[in-house]
Amino acid sequence: MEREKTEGAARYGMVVDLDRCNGCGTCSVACAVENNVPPAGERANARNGISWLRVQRVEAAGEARAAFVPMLCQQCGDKTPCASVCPQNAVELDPGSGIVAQVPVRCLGCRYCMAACPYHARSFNWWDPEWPGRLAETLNPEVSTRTRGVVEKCSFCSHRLQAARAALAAAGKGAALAAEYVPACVEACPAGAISFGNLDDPGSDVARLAQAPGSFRLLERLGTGSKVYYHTEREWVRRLADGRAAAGDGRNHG
Amino acid sequence: MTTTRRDLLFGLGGGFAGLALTPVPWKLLDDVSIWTQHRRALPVPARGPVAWKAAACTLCPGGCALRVRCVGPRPVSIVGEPRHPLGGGACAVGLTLHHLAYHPLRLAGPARRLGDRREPVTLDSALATISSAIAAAGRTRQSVMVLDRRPGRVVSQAWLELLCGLPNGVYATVPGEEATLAAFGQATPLGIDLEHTRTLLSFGAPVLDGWGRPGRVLGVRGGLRVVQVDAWRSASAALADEWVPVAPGSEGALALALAQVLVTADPARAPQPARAALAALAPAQLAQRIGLEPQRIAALAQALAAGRPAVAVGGGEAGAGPLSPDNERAIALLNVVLGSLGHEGGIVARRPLPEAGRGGTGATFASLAEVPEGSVRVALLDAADDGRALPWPLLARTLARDALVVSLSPFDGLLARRASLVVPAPAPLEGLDEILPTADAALASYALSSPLLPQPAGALDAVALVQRLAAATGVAVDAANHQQRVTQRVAAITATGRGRLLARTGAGYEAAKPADADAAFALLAQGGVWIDAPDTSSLDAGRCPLPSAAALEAWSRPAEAVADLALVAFAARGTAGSTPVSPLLTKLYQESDLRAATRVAAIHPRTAGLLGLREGQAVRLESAAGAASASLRFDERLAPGRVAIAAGPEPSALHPEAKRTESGALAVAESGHDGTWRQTRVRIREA
Amino acid sequence: MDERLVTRGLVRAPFRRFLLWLVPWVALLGLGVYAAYLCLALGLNQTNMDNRFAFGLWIYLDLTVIALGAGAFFTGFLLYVMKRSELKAVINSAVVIGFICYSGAIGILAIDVGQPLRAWFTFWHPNVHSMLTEVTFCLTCYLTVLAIEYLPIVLKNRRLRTVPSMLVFEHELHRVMAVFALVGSFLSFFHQGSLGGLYGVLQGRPFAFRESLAAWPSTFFLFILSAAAVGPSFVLVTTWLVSKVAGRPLARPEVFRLLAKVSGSLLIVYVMLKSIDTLVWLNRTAPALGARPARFYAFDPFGSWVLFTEIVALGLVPALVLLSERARRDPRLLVGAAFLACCGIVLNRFVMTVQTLALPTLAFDPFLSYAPSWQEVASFLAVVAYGVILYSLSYRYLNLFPQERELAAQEA
Repeated sequence: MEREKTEGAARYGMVVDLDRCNGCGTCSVACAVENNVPPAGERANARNGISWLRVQRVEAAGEARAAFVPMLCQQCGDKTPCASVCPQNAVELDPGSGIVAQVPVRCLGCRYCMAACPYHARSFNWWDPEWPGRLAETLNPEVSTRTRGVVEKCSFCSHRLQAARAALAAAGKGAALAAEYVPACVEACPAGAISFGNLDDPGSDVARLAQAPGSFRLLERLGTGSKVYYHTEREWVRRLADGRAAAGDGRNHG
Repeated sequence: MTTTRRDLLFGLGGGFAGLALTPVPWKLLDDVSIWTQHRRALPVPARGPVAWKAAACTLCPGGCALRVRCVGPRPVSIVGEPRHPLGGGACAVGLTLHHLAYHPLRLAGPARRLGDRREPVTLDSALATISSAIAAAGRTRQSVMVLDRRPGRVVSQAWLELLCGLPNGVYATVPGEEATLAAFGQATPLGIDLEHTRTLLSFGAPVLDGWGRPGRVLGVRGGLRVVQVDAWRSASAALADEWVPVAPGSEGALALALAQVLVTADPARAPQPARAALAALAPAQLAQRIGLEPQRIAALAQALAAGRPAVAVGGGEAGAGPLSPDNERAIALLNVVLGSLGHEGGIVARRPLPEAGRGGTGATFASLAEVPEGSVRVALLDAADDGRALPWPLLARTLARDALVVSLSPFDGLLARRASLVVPAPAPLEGLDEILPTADAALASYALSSPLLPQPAGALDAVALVQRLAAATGVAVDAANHQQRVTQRVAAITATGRGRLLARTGAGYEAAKPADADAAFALLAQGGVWIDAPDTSSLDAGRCPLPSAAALEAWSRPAEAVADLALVAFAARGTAGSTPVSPLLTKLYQESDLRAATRVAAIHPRTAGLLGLREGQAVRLESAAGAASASLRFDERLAPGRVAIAAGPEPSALHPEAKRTESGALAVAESGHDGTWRQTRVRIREA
Repeated sequence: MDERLVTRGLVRAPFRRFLLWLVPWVALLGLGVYAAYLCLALGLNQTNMDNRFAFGLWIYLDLTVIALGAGAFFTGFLLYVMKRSELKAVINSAVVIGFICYSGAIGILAIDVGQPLRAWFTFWHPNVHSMLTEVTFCLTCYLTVLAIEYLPIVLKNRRLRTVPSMLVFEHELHRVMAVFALVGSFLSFFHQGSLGGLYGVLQGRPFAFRESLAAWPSTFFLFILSAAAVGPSFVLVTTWLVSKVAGRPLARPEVFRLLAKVSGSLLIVYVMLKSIDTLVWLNRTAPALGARPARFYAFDPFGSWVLFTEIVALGLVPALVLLSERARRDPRLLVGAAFLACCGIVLNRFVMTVQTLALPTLAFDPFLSYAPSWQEVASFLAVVAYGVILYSLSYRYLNLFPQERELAAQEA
């Protein structure tokens, strides 16, 4: 699926600093609050629960130290493994923002996209969603709730992008594609470990951090063109997260 | 004319073809796609005007400042204030604070327990029950105890006023994160100058995982070397620069061993009584009890000395509970030896907050462990919860046979379930609350959390309850209500003329100069904060904390071999108290492997082999205090002879509709004589 | 009791015994329908599939039965296009089995999706780049073709033939059967291939991903070839099985030998191409994606023995046996080799579906295991039961094996 470079388009991306992440899981819960992800029923577990953003602990056997890798949809580029395989076009790569959007109302629940995704970013609604007590009163009206039997995943809080674009338009700045906004996880991280912004904006923090030494993408060799970068200056963390040490990186911070 | 089969077939076929030209099939297709979007009635959240309001989290001592996004009257999401001067951000528990008022475990109004059920009662009837029990206590010389887990609030003052007017009032607290600092026995509160500390030695305190003001710790982490002493590989141990694994309960022994090495090298480090006590300890015996090689201890001591300013902290952990007072004194002694008391980067004085209210004398101040057994006739469990565990046996020990236990918690938690009477207070975000300085704070501070939700009719705030009880029992207390008392306190604070008052603005925090106390109150109610000036007064150098002789003697003896397993309990701060957590925390406890839930027990594979147990097996943990079901997990980092299990969050918080069963560390925790449950021994067998 | 429904000249078991035979299958069907109902009413949490094992037993068995059911199209191709008239003896049976396999697969697919009511979305909003779109279109079209091929067999029933319009209809259909066979072959070619393409295009799964020839990954062609190779073997095995159960010969030995020869020839070509493909994949394709091929077979019990079993023990060996004229004369070797060839395809589909998902992709992924729940097994067994019932009814009331009558006369 080729994408012509749309005028004024943004390419939103993220850099997660693994040296700052302390595994508190606040991002994961903030995402669930923002996006109306239902809490688990009794029978759910790590493999069939719904988590758009999941913090994964990585550690070497026998060693005390551990690092944490927040895993979310990597928002792949032109060669998204999931968009090309969906039989009814329920996955769309938005050329104006680079966000890979999931359309739950069109999803038929065949789960082909889930088999295709190497980052395990997608969750399926194995159960009907239920909010105990009156918890449904705290739901966010800007995100629709999903029914059972459809796939969902991180959308880089694209509803916040819509709101930011709408605010720009209302302020008379025309129909801008690239608006500044912050997804819920970025906003919530107490350690400030996640940077977010337009990768195509050379002045943005995220563009600079993405190219910094020690920054890498997961499964780079697959060529998915993912827009989530991870950063660490610790060799052992790089090896655990990426399966390989940084090429030519002589630094070793133990 | 006869109708043949052919006619029928042609008619049907033509009919079907014609149908395709009508809107019917297309409408049907459309409708099918709409029906499939609403498989069952999905909630459609109501829209409304969006406003950001200030609040603060009261679920644990951290007191993180929050920004709450409200759609119309409903809170919809929360974000920690990133630029707060004391340290910003909020944890996953605080981020779901707004769910608690809507939690199914929320109690609607006063009720009394009848067997397994609860029967609603009127407030007057509840008050009558309590006051007659108080009167009975007065007649029989038994105590009326208030258990306050967040002392220092104006509510605490109100309790004291009530208790001082009763014949046998007992104001009980449980040790918190400030226990090590309290062990110094100084007249003034203490804090830690973390910004200049180089080495932080934590004895089981979750310093990197929810301790003190977490935002502050995150801010100083880069310049700090953290050494975590823990009986298991806790979250802090995994993130620390070094993990020192020790036997459970031997934290104080290690502190003394380290102090001994340092004093041997330089006797001037410690005052004479301490030197004598340390000299009497045999290093080899100590090392054996701790479970470390003497060389490791020596190396650790030298690293501490080289890494000064170094601070040692205890204070317990949310699930494991407090350390014993002797352990805390040993850790405090280590700080004296390290020279961190009263110096930059070490332990510093911090002025106490001005109180509001008249105070009073006559009530007994005690830690819960010091309350005599069976002496309490009326126990009032204040609603405020510090998010740390309190096993029922520790409380039950103090109760007389016919004791009346009143829980003021707004939730149906562990203690509330055992209480004879519940008189629920407002839930978080429904009432005005105070944010007091954290244990680590080097400067006194004060902030407020304003109510964002209406208080239900059945809830009664603690000050109002005190006033009603005082009226019923004939005790004179200050007539001011909660808000008025807080305003008085704010007035007292502004009257000191010290420190700075910061107002919360859209961009961050700005210094402000309010005209009067009411303006200051308004400022604080909208998310502002008052921060004191540093306390330059000197500390009493003559006071040297020393563990008791019995403790010193016990630590010198080798540990006895016990057949059962040592319980290692743990919990994230804010998840183990009387307040439940939001069901959304299943993201961390169930829908990921990030945190262990109460239904998982971890043991070393070798221990499992000896007991004939397999990984994943359903097991039962049993102690003298109770039993719990769990599934077994192997953990090679947990030393043999121990079992690690979480003390929270309890499953009924995450799954309110499920059947309640006893689970987790709190179901098996045994009350120790020193107010801890760290000596609990547990047996495991196949379920 | 139902002799008037049975084809003239054929001997069938007494009606009561037939009913007794059906009873356990109907019970199994009932259990499976209940399991399917649970999945539809309560949701797919009734299965043991999860976010990591998004495809489970059902998809695996779907691919397997479609591969085995390929006997329908390929036998038709051989009969109507290649004019191998010996196969008239088994074409009806092959068509019925094909119909059972495909209708069963589509039935399972209807429960396998999270929102069955949205099944028509694939036709309404098709994604032309997706292999699964192609599969959906082709499968539905081919099922229609199979129904059309099944219809004349049904219409030839003794009672139905007495209705003149049915007779005329059947006759007309028969005249165009070659066209349908050709269309069916064309469609089958594509969806067998697309089922292979389903996994071959997964660039995120180096274990499954293959390089492409034109628009299609090599698994596209390998799946077609393997299906064509194993189709005749499956027809052979099922015919043999039915004749054993029925207790009488149903087709001449020459028919079996022809099926075996065709199967063996295609199988040996398949084994050669598969070996080349495997070598290319292990040495070039997978390493180019950053995967280490040794890691593919490093997890128990999926060691490299799986690969050797699939290609050699269940591929090369039965191919050689089926190609050997001497072996073809021995019925035990014949059926045994055909059975092994079918097992090879069953294993191949398993490796492509289940092992692909079990293997880790990220550096910190574990190797996963999955065991189907009883609902999944029962639903699939319902398909088997449905197949047995439908086939039993077809065998009893329709002339599935034209040579049966003369073989019975010969024996007498």
